[in-house]
Amino acid sequence: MKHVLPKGVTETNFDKAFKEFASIVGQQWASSSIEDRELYNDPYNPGDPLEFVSGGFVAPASVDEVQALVKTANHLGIPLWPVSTGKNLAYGGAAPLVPGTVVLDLKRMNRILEVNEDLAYAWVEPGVSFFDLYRYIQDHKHKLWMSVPGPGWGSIVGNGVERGIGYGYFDDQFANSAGLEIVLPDGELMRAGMGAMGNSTSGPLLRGGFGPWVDGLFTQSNYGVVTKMARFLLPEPETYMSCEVNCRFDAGLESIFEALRPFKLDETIRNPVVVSNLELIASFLSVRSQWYDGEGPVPDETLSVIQEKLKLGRWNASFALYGTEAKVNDAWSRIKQAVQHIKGIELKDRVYHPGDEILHPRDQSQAGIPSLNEFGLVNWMGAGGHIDFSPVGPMTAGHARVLNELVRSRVHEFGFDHLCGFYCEPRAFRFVNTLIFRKDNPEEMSKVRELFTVLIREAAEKGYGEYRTHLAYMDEVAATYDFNNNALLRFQEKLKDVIDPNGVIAPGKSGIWPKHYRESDA
Amino acid sequence: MRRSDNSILASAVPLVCAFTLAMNVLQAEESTGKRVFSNWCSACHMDSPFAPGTIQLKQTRGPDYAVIEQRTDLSAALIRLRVRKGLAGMPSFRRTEISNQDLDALIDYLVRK
Repeated sequence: MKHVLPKGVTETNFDKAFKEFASIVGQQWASSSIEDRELYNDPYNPGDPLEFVSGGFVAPASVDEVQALVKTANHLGIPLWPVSTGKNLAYGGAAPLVPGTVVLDLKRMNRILEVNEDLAYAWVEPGVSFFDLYRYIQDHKHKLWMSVPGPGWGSIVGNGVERGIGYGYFDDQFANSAGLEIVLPDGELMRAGMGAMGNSTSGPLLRGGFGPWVDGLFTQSNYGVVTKMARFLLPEPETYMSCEVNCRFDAGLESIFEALRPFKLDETIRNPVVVSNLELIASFLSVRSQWYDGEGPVPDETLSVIQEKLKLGRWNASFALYGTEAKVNDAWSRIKQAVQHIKGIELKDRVYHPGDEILHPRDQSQAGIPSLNEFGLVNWMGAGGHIDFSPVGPMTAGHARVLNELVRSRVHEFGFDHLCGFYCEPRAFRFVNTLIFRKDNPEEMSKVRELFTVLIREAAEKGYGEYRTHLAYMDEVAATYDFNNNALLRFQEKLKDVIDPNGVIAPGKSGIWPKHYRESDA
Repeated sequence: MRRSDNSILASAVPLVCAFTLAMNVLQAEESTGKRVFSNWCSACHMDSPFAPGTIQLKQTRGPDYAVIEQRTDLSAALIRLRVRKGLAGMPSFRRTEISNQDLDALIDYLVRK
């Protein structure tokens, strides 16, 4: 097959588009060859790797090139799927939702535009990864810390616009950003917030500006291509303490939530409290076959062996304290007092000062040192695939228990191990459940697909919605946001029709389809 | 004599330059290869109990095969295949991440070791 054509696009127009793309970015950075298009497959899709196959890729190196490409795509009706570094793994990676969509690969736009130590921020292009910025900060001896997610090869911009979570002081990546620059679907360049002023002194500093705040419209959306973003950084703290509150018993989950919530609410703890189950942490450090070779979920007695060997709890809460020695010690003292009554509790702390080497994986993450340590979970089952089911709930013991039991019982019923972590903000948690399957086992992949649909439906029935999802489930998740006959989605579709009438940017992203797709499917 | 010396020197200069150039190219390739490894591979494949690729290889192939940089059995074809096609939990890497030139340098670095 010469081309994988996007819906409604002729071979002639597709050929013409790639000729024009190549004239804009250079021959080697625009290709529809089978070798290149398959490099954009989702490596962890639970099903046919070609289910979400791209039509090819085009990789600009500048904003001017992005504008020219978007204009060409508009003129010829070619859908584009923008990716920053393409590492949205567990949610689809670099793959587009509609087969044949051309991936707009922004990895070559990898300039670190500014790192400002006085005001503690970095302003970057989409191709800059957490590894890249970390190396830059180290090379230039800046005393600044990032907030990094699990995989360090992710994009700072991409993780921000997907509304990802960091382990550091600034937990919500998008909430701690500013300075957005966007190429709109018609090719026009726009800056949001203070940056909308042509000679602004404060573009990367303050999210608001004058009038309606639009930054959020460009997150998890298909209204434009984000080409710059600023991320706030933390001045290196005088003292950093990495803390663990682990409970030997499953029942400890509720007590941990109730004991730690006040410290999130009064901001004693600023970074996310991450409450991980034993299976998740075991998957970072080992592979399943070391412990258990049988079918179905790892049995409870084996979990006890793992727990003993790895010296972990059934539930393991980790968080950090940053600041002066006195402030950190006072906070830890108060937290210890609050959790000491919990049966089976075990406390750990590790203290660091500037210049200390940080080797423990979680301590690195909380100190803004990117890694791929957590990526080990893909090895848990061997030929590792994974997708994440990530519902949101109120930060209370009752909701944590209800949601955990709902997901765990279904995951076990379908024969899988339950690997999960609660990422707790002051008032709500994001409950990330990693469903691990073997990519060479069609039956397992089919079961995961069915399980995921069951989980979306049953969680939604109880009022829990996903904050982010895999390509395969964008419509299903969008449908669960059903207040007043899905008024939100209908509003998003109205915006789509106005902002991107030809529907060239990421059709189907977050359940938002261009008009001609909606009408042809009606 | 003097003239003769000069002519020997003169004829040796291009050879020395060529040798130096070749060495520089080799060193540049090696350092490019090492840089590519550091940037793209080491987070998973370094010699660490927390590196996912090292953990996986130790489990599936044994400790002698766990640390990529210490192996002597890697072929250019195998490295190229794994980088562009991935394996098990390892994803593939696109040309915008590891260019064909960088991949050649990476292969050179890992195979020559």
